[in-house]
Amino acid sequence: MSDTANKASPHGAHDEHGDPYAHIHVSSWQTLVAVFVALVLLTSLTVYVATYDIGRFELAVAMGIATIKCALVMGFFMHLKYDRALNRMVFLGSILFFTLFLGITVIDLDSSKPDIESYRRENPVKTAPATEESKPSGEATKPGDPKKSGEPGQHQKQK
Amino acid sequence: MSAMSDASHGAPEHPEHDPHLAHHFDDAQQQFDAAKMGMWTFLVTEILFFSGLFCAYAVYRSLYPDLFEGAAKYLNTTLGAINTLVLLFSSLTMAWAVRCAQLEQKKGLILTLALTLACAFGFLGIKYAEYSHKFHEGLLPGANYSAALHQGPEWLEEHGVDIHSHAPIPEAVEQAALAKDGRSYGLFFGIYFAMTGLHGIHVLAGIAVILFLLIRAIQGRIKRENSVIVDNVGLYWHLVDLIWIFLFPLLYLIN
Repeated sequence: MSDTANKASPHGAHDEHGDPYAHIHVSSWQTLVAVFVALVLLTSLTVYVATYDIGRFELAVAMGIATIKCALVMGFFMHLKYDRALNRMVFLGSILFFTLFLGITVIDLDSSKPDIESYRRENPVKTAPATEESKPSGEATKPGDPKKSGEPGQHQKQK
Repeated sequence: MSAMSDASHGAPEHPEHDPHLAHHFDDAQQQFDAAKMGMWTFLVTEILFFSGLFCAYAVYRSLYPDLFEGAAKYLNTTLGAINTLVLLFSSLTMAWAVRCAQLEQKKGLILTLALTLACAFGFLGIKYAEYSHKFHEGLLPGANYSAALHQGPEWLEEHGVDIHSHAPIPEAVEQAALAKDGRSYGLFFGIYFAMTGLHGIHVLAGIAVILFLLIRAIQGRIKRENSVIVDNVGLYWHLVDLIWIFLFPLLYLIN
């Protein structure tokens, strides 16, 4: 798991010119396969959980599982576990700014929710504007449509 | 090569100059670290690039939770899950390709890169099937959304329409293809196409760079000294996988 690719350079042999090879972490294939299996299991878990109605925790659970998968990919496939601390900092910096971006937007949205709700009460959605207006899209009656053309339902589209 | 080693050799040209080591780096380690850090900096800009779309998703899902719940039922979870597995497998083969490059296993490198490329095409193939299905069903962004007009006979019968009469679709049935509050699902499909489309463009770019690596590998031009190029393409490819890891539950698994 922690073997390095330094096969041909005992220290000191090249001390004037520096090591001709960088010290690179090489992952063992067993580690890679184990991570892949864990990722597949977590994917199955998230699909399985989604078939149950668990209410408002649904999004939190789905995002939690995705975050664990993300950590596995980053730690092992992207070598972040063995990488320089600087690269970890660079990555965490992006997460920090992502959180700021999303967090401040959500706070702003939250504070304008009363306005949004009163606007909605005053302007309810009446009919189906999209289906009424976008009818002559032409796509419905394309002759090349293998599934629909010639089926009895087709005629009803001309309302 | 430092100035000191120049002096000790007494010649301006480096007789033992390593072709893989650029002049402005002290040694291979520094060159490797700089390449990796440059790639990570690029990945950060990518994450922030996508964050705009994730932010739009968060705002609209919080404003229209029912709309997202209803619209997600039009997505094929099975195809989404298969695509997740395809991308996860391609991440495995890509990580393995990095290992092969570092250990100078030429055959293994070619095989793993070819497998990664095949998975990338497989992903886009499934995506193509999903997209064309949505185009035919009228599951389109914004005002182009027209699902009720494009439904098949099974759906219409389910909603109590006599498919053999030529009567117009009752308004109630048209409403069935809309969210509970009468809003069109066009909003959801706008977000869906923007997010998966941008991700798909990244897959295309990934195909280009993996193809480049594959050609280099076949030519035998990828050695341990320059294996960082495989490493960095790998980092990019894993990021594409990471974005999908979040897109899949956010778009397909809304209950």
